[in-house]
Amino acid sequence: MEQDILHRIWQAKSGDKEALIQLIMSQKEDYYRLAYVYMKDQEDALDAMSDMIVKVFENIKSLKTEEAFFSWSKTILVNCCKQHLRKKHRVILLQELPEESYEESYSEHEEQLAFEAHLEKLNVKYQEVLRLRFALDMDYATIAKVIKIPIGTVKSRIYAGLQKLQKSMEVDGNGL
Amino acid sequence: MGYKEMKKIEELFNAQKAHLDTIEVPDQLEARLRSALAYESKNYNPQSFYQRYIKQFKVAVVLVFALLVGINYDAIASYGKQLVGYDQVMDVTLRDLNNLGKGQLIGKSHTFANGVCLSVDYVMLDENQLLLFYTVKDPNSDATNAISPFMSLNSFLGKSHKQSSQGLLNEEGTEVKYIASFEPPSPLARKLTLNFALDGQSQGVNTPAEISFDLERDKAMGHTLKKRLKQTVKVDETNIKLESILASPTQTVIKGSAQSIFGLARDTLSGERFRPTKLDLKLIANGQEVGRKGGGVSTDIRGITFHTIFDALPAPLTELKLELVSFSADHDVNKQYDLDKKGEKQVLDILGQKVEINEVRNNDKETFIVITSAENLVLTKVYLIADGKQISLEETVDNRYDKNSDGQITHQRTLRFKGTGDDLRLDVHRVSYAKDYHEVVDIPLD
Repeated sequence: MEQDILHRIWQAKSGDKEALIQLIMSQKEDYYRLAYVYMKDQEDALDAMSDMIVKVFENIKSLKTEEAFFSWSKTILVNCCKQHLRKKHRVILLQELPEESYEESYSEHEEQLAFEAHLEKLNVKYQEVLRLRFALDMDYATIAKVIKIPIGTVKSRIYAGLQKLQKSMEVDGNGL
Repeated sequence: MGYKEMKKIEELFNAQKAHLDTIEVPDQLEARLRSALAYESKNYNPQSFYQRYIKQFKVAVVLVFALLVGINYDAIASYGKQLVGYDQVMDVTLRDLNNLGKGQLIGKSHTFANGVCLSVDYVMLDENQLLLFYTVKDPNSDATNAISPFMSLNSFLGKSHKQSSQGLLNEEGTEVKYIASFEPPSPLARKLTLNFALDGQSQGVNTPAEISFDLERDKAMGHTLKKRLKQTVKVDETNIKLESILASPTQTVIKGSAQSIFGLARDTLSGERFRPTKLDLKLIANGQEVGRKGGGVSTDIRGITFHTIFDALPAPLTELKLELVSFSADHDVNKQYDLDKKGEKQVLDILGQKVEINEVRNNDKETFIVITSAENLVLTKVYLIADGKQISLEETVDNRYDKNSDGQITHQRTLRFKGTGDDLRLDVHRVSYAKDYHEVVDIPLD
């Protein structure tokens, strides 16, 4: 890990908020897209990241190895996203329809839409690893670190997930 | 899995990845992170609204959910109309009734194998609703997630669906006290059975259970005012019919309709359909506004109907007025508007509503259109036509609300379309907006 990154982590550990912001911003695309994969919405992704930085700040003293900072904070981000999703689920009926009609916009890419629908039918644990692996291009080891499961489980979930995905698409006669 | 299939799935994932790669990190990210941390230093806990509540008030008011059921359910699912209300677990009206002993103690409970316990504590009944007071305890984890929100009250005469509920979570998160509103059961029903289930989200299966109790009819509170109304208020799109008022000790319900099923069919054929999205009514009793607790609009075989729920009426009642404050609807437009790319400001007239085009900019892949309109105007279905090709809206970003000197709130936002061209037109299929009416009708009390 680069020296200036390590230095910033030490600064953040001693309570320097600006250093922590710069650390996150140094990999802002990675964090933001990770949040986006879960939240699928700009506002919600930003909310999840705000939650994350507060939790990271509160708990960074307990981080033993500096090298683990990025995967550790991404784990926190994933948990923040999941927490938001649970809440969102409960209040969705109270909201009015927003202007951004995602469904409309996707109707052109019907194949993508159908694929997404099949993906969403899978158990969340498969969806999660498949998206991290393929949509975010993470390797097995990183996925294992970020969602805190053994690397063997990551592999077997990806394999099983692909199998289930294929089966589900075949049953639907999607012309695979 | 065959090579070909794997290849196909890979392609589909690649398309997703390509989409994700085009997502830009919003400029405000850094500012958001900074302000999140700034709050933190003031000993706020911005992790979530609910957690902040726990810290500040030592309790968390948990808005559990509001469900429309039965015949309304499909309509709501497909129209997504608004439902509001449900603020605190026990409002002043209920507290007063409770103090007067206007309910029935039940005190029956059921404990599941995993330790989750539901006990029915109290029932209040009047002509508008049956209020069920119950407690959920989960010694191991989060009590808000322990029981499935879908429950029903059954008697041999039929089923009462749960309409809404609200709860108060204790500090440890192990116990929630709920008040749930059910449709009133048939006047002949004496014995009721509450059917409920463990929330099966984690286990994948629901474990059902039931609690039965006898309803003491002599405790039922009936109504205080029940009338057919025959008033009509004319709005641009239609005549709003105010059909009935039913005031009971716990709440007041106004019902009406906005369009018959025949009118709906006619408008659909002529391509001039409107779909009401919100009807803002104000109830004024003895010169004082009565608190609004909820409501909804639904479309079904009877046409477009609405109901609005207010707090109980004061006693004695000397005067009652109902005001139609505003009416919002979604309208068919199906018109195209030429966009000037030179950066000139343009004002579009969409069904008499003003939409300002502040800026049209593009790069070689995307077009961004900055628009400003009244706060309540939404282009509900909009496309971009670039050199004759229709492109759907990708997303709306950079929302900003401003208050003008005359008190009007305007909403500026940027519509992002994936694609661009030389000849650009905005293709507006539907628009929704609200219009103020402030029309007052008297409700005779005799």
